Amino acid sequence: MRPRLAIGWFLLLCSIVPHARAAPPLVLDETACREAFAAIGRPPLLRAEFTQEKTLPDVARPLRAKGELLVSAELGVILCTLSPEFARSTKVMPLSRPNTDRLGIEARISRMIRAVLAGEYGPLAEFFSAQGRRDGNRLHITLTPKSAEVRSALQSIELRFGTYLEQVDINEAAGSKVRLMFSGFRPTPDLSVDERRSFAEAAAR
Amino acid sequence: MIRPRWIILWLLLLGAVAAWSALRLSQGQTVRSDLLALLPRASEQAPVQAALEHLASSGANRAFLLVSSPYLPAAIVATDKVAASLRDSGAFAKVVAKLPPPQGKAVLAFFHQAAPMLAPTQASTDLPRRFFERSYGTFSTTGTLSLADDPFGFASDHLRSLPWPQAALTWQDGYLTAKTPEHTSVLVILELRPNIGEYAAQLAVAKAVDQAERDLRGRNPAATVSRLGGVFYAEAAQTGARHDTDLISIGSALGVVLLMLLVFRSLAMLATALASITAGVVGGTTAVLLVFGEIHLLTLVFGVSLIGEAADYSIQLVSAKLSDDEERVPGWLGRVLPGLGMALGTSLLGYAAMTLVPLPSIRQIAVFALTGLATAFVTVVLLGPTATSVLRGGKVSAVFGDLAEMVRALGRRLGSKSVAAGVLAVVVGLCLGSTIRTDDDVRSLINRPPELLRQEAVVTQTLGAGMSPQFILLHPAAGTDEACLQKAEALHARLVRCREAGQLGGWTSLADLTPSRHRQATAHANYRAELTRQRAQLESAFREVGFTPPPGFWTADDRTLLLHDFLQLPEATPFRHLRFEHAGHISHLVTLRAVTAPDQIRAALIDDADITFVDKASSISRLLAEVRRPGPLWIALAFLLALSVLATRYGVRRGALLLLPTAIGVAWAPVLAAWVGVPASVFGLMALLLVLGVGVNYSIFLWEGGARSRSALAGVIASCLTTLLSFGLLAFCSMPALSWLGTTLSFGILVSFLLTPLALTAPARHETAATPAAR
Repeated sequence: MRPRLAIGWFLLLCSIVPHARAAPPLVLDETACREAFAAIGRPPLLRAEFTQEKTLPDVARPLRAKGELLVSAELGVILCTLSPEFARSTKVMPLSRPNTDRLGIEARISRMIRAVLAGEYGPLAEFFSAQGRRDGNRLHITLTPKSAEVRSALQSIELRFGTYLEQVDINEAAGSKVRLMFSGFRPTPDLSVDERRSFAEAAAR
Repeated sequence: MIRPRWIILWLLLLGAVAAWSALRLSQGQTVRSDLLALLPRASEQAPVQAALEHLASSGANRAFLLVSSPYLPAAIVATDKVAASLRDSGAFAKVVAKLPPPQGKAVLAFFHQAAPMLAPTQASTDLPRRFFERSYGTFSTTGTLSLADDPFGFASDHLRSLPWPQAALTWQDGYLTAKTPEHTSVLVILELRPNIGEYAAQLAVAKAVDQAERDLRGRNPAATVSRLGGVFYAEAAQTGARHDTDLISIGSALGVVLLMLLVFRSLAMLATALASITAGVVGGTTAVLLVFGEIHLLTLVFGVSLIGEAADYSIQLVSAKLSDDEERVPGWLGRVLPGLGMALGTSLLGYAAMTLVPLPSIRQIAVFALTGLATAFVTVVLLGPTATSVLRGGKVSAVFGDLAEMVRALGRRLGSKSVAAGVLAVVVGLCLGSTIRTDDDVRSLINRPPELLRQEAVVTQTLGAGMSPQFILLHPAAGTDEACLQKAEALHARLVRCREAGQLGGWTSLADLTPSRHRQATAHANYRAELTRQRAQLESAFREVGFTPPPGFWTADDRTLLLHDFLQLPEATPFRHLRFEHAGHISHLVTLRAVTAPDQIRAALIDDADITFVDKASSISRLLAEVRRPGPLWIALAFLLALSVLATRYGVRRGALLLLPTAIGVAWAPVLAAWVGVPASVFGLMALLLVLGVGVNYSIFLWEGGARSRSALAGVIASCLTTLLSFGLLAFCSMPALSWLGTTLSFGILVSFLLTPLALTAPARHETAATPAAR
């Protein structure tokens, strides 16, 4: 009996331990999402590499690109696509545009993108309601548009965080999907002269 | 004695005229209170005037409320309560708190396949590069046309830059909301009833909003309601003007009645005065309605202040009768009428000079006064003698007899030194007057309640930078949409330069919605040329991405966008007011935001006759300054004219002496008014012309016989007091323009009256027999 009992106890333990270790993820409401957002690391300057996969209804295969992301808490966001070679481009989204006297559609989209990439909850809360899930130190937040105006352009945005924002999935209303994956996070070096100039020029436009 | 049938005919005529005026006034839309009615029209270009009227009419049927609370849910609850309360009031055609967001799909459909028409107009666009950016860009297709419809993003860029005016607002559960660090606000749109030009409708709107706000604050003290709309200013102006009218008419009428009963105890004088005042107001109102088709509140308020002056003629006529009763000398009527006629003549001269001021409202006042005084005069002449014979009695206190003796003695003592001192006083007054602060800003002449201005600032700050009152009018000779759009496109570079120079924050133009056909044709031609030139590279790029262009892509057919079609979309509602038709010509407006340097913008546009920078308030202010600056010359000419009129009866020397007290009054009135804070303005100039017209009356009355008997002197004093009472009450008006006018006028008349003994300065030997001294 003893060996049987021992095996029985072993099987029971085996059945319990995995469940104990894989505790169910914690569901987060709007307020909890806001608090979770606030706890995410947000250094004054953050650089990362990104991989983008874009699926368009009019294009047969997913479009893949790679590049670098720069998030400056003071100045804004630069998204620099480096490959493929023919798709090289730089998008600068400055934090302030002194000559913009109102929020045009383009400025709003830019603000939203910047908020997504910088992980800022404030601007996003204006347009989206949030629901989240915490699984250990992993955080997954789904943003759904509050207004029909934004809903006509976007179905949802999903954000996955580790120490920093690690993945963004953008599901557009017209069927396009964009996945951005970030890696190689580093809070240095400081902004270069060219980067500062890019922010200044974009802000002045 | 006047024949009774003339009196009856006159009364019948007045009755008919009064009935017609009452009917016109009861029809509404005839009493104006807005700034526009104050502005000169004859000097304006017709398209500018048409644009101003078009803008006024498009904004006149709407008003806005911003219901604010610290949090969105509370703001929405508060909005629902306010909207329900406003709907229950019945004061509005429609109260819109919830409205569907614009259907982006309709706008997307409009620009569907129009990408070639929105391409750059200059050559050498790198199409493959634009295609790769559009395909790979992270958010390049979000909320715009598909890659197949717009592979290079030309139409998508255009769509994203459409200048939606509600861009500072976001839709939350069907509510248009705006967020500031302190509050979340919800916009409520009030559609006003068609009769909103009538005071009753304006009052109902204001009361309904007041009530809704009170109810809301009772339940939620943290909530606020801010209002924006011309209707609130119109209501405030009408309420203020009605209060002013009541104050002046009741105050003046009571003053006149009390004075007549206490000083003269003459029912004849009272009856004649009341009849002449009524006739004057009726005559003035009718004349203005006939000439202008409407009457401004400013005119009405000023009009009732004529009560004091209109009463003068009856006071003089009846006091002359009482005076002759004392002296038992017959023929009093024949002696008093020339003096009264002379007084009327100088008054009419003053008001006639006002018709030269290029402001419709001042002309209205002048027409009102000219007709009103003439009607009052005729009424006194027709009714006065009969009244004095029917309603006998009346007696003036003996004190006035002693006073008359004193004035006569003073006049005998006054000589050349007094005259020299008077002339010196004029010079000193003029010197001091030249240092007075001036204020020609037309906005400071209008009563704009500070609370409404504060609320307007809250609304414009919350919704984003407010629209400036200035705008640009595009009125090309061709008078077509195409010509207007081309003008707007030519204007674009200049406006960009103005914005870069910090002179304005932004603008909204119909050319930003659909370019001109000419521009589209150029863009299309350039697009097709580039498509052909870069076809090989493009085919390679498409293969690289795996994109198959839709049928017809390489031929890129002409799909010209028409402004007319865009304006038919429901989403185009916020832009429709930017286009209007006048006299068969189409004009466009370019509205401006955050204008900081209007003069520089005007200068930047001045070389194009088809483009007019309209800054109504500034142009009126400039006009007012232009009218005010040569004021001293106007007054000098008016004095010369008055002297020439007086000289016909009194000779040049006596005429000049009669004018001297008024000249001192005119010189010192602005100085004294400045001491109580009234700046020099065109309304001050008006007041000085009136001081001349009215102030000289007392010298005439005194010279004609005022110092001869107690009744006559009492008449002169009473005339001055009634006039001072009316014009003095004008100084307490809510409208700054009338208050300034009343203050300056009162000081001028007071000084003129106090110095009237100068008019009795001993006459020269050669004076004519027309003077009382010779009589």
